[in-house]
Amino acid sequence: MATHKLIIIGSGPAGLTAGIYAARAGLKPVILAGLTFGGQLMLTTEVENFPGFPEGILGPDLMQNFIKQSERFGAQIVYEDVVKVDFSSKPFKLSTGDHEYLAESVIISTGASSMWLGLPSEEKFRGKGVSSCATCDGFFFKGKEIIVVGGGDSAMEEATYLTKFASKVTVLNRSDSFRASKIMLDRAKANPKISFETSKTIEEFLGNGKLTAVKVKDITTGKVDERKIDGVFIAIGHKPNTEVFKGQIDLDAKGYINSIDQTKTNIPGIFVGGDVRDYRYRQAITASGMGCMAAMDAEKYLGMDEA
Amino acid sequence: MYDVIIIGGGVAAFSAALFSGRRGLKVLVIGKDVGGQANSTDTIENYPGLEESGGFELVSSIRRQAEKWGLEFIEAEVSKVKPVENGFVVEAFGNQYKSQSLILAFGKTPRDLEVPGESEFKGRGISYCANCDAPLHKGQTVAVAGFGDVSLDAILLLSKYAKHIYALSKTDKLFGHPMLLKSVVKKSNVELVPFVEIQEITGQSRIEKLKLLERNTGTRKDLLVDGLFVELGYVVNAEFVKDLVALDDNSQVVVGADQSTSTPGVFAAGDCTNRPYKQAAISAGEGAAAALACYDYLARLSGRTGLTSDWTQIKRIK
Repeated sequence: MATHKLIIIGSGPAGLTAGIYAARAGLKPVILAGLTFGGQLMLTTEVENFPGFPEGILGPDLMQNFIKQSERFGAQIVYEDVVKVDFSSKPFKLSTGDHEYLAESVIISTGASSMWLGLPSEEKFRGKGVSSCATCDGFFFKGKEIIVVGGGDSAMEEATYLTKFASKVTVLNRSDSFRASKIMLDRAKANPKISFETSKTIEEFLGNGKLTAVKVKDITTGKVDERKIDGVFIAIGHKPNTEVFKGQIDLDAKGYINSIDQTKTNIPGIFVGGDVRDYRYRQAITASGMGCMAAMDAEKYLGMDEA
Repeated sequence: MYDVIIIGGGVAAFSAALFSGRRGLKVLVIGKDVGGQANSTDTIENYPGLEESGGFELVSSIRRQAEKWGLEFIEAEVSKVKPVENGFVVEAFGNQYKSQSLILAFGKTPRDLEVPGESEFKGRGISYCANCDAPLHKGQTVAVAGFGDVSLDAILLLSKYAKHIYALSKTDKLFGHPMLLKSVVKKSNVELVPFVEIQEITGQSRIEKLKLLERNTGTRKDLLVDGLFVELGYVVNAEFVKDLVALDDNSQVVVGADQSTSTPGVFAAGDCTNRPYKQAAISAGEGAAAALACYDYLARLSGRTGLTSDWTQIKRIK
């Protein structure tokens, strides 16, 4: 089996920017783009904040540009999901189930995803009343009643933001206390449109094509009530896509990859960029910048090996 | 009184202005020029999302983008920055501007050869960035004037693209890391030109000829080239902030992971920082991160909510 100089896992702004730089440097990178390629920008329409596009650009168009650019320089894009890795010895081994790959160096840029409750009915109503992005979808709930699920800062932020549109916002929290910082909680509590219910969780989403009601379970009493609702926002945080790397590489308590000097990990030859290590900025351009750094560091690493 | 004054006129500065503006901050950018180091590059073909762009065009387009969010720009050289109560005062061309926070993005300048013809052919065959421009010289003849590892790195990179490379040296050999030297010697398209210094650079619309002086014999000779790479390192002109923030030994601004400096309320991005990478995409990313960190700082200062992700104005496909 041929050993590739560099394999990039993920195809959002970080992975594809790494691909552009690495390909241009002649490393002939293989980008394991996944079955759903392009990352979070594929879910957006107009992107106004990517520097260099003053007129704005559609998210999927921007990602197409990235893909064409990396291919033009010689990157090979494979639309497969990585299901298993072995970083314990070199060359590093990666498996997509169908194929095995060997690499002298790897860039991990698998991004992050919003966390969901994980109910089958939740999946059914995603985009049809169930959302994980208040700033994306809040506008569609003008004058409506909604629930925000979560008890942390982001839940308070989303609830407060959503009162701009919704007539009534209920914050539903699984435990009996809130994780949110005092200032955020106080602010939400001061808002007359927001009410709070603790020790409660959603058991089922109901509706006919569109969400109309939910079953809410009281965790202490076990009682379930069904209530009418127009929208539910899940604000229980983001999750880095690092499941496949557990036990192979240093992760922090939240599952993000621990990085040293921006792009390096605890394993020489494995680099990282984008939302998979950044829970703070989460911008396309910040991810791109990190992808570029990772490619330059990988190039340097491979060059040292060669010399 | 501005929320933030950004010092610089390149990719990092205007990217920072864009993200500050989108957050509703009142922003002033003070730059010595528009373009910064991107100006020294003929063509940028590795900025993600753009097939090809001139360095200046890229910076100008980010500036236009930031102007949509209320950017004010003054072309001037900052001479002094001092902390005052509740913020900072920035002096430029005799005027004073006040802000609550600062983003330093004044870049760094490659060291010049300082010979006649150099300023004329900057961006027209003379490059200070082999990483940026080496692929533009496929099959061509180029010269490298420089010293040390950066120069050897440039030669190695160019050897993949150029037909012939003159490695100019003021002595009888090249200097640098033994491993790099070993690799350079192995390249068949690299020719050492010993004991020379460039006296003048000439050409028509682009660079054509290097006029050299042979130091050991005192004779003059000409080299015909399609490109010249100057690899003498960079100078950071950080004199005016040396009392404000911590600098490293190369007078680069020391930054933390969130683009903060040693002084609260002062952030830095791009080539003026102590990060080793010098690329437009990275500067743009750091500019954005500095702006968001700065917004976070100002918000917390006034007791408002801190940073959340800037997805406003991005609408999700239904």
